[in-house]
Amino acid sequence: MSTLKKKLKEIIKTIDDLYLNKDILDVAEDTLLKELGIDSLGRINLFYGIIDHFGIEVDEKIASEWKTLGDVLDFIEDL
Amino acid sequence: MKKLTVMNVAQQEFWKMPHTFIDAIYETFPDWKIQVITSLESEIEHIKDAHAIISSPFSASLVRGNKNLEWVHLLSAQVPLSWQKLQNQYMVTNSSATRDAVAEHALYLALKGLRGEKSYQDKSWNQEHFRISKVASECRLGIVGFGNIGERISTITNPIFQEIRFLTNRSFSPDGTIHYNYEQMKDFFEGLDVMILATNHSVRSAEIFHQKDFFEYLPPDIIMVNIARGEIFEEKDLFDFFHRHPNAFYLTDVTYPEPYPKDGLLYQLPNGYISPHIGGKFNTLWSKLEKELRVLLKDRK
Repeated sequence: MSTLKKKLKEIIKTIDDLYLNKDILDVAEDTLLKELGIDSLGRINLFYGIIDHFGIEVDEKIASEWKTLGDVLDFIEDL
Repeated sequence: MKKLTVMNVAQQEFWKMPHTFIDAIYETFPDWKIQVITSLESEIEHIKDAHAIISSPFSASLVRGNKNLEWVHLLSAQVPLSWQKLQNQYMVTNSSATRDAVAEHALYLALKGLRGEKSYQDKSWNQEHFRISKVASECRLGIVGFGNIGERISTITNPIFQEIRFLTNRSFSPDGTIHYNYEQMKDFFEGLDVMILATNHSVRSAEIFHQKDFFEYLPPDIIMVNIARGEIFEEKDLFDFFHRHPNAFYLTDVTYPEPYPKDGLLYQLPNGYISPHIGGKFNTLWSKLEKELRVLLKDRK
């Protein structure tokens, strides 16, 4: 999981208009995205940052199901 | 009928679109279906199917999947990075209405730095609130960025400073100024007293300001004014430089994020000053934006 977190942190650095109020390396996977400062619009930003990084096409609706950091990490792991 | 979505989603009263501005949109686009939204989160579907959007800056991610979108007009001096990357796909225009106000705010911050005002804590007659000042006519001013705002800054500062120099990728600069390209950065900083960052936040500027050499070139007593973007620097690098160089001074109207949090690193700098992104906020802004909209977008009807 720590490798995935590092990967996600690298991706987040490349996303414009996405600011996290905590370092994801310092928080548990069950941390809610809203605790990290990611609202519904931030989720969309994050989603497209991830799929652009991997160069894939996925339905944006998946992002609406993300509640925790772990949900995002699972998504990346499954790619 | 084409759909134009107008995003009137600002929280602060000043930044909410006045009815005169919205009326101007209806008058300019009589043959369009106009949808004014006031909540981004609950009305996002009107961004996803719009043929055109008028808005303050927002992330370009929100229009992904919109197959109708033809153009976007942003009410801001800069095109955000996320939109710069998509300018081949859509026509993206931005506003120059804030040019004079932002340039004057940059001058205000530069003079504040020169006059040596420290963080002003209380109403008291205390000369310790000020460092020993410098006189602009004996100082060299460097402007990074030669756009509308950079050019306007050079016009209003030219009578005051000893020398004006530009750091720019253009091969020329206004009369009476000296220009350097980005490969000549070391020469640009040689003997510089005041620096105003008026450059676009872009992939290119990020490369320049994130390189380690950048802070090594800065004079140790530089007065740096940032009216560009907060994320132009890695904040830790910025903090480290001004922490190690107490005779330098950082004055900024922009931070990352905005609003800047109370526990933000830059608030720990005794030689730092932050104004809350007010450079472009002035009394006739909305009437200027309205006039500009009628001219800039008249061919988009």
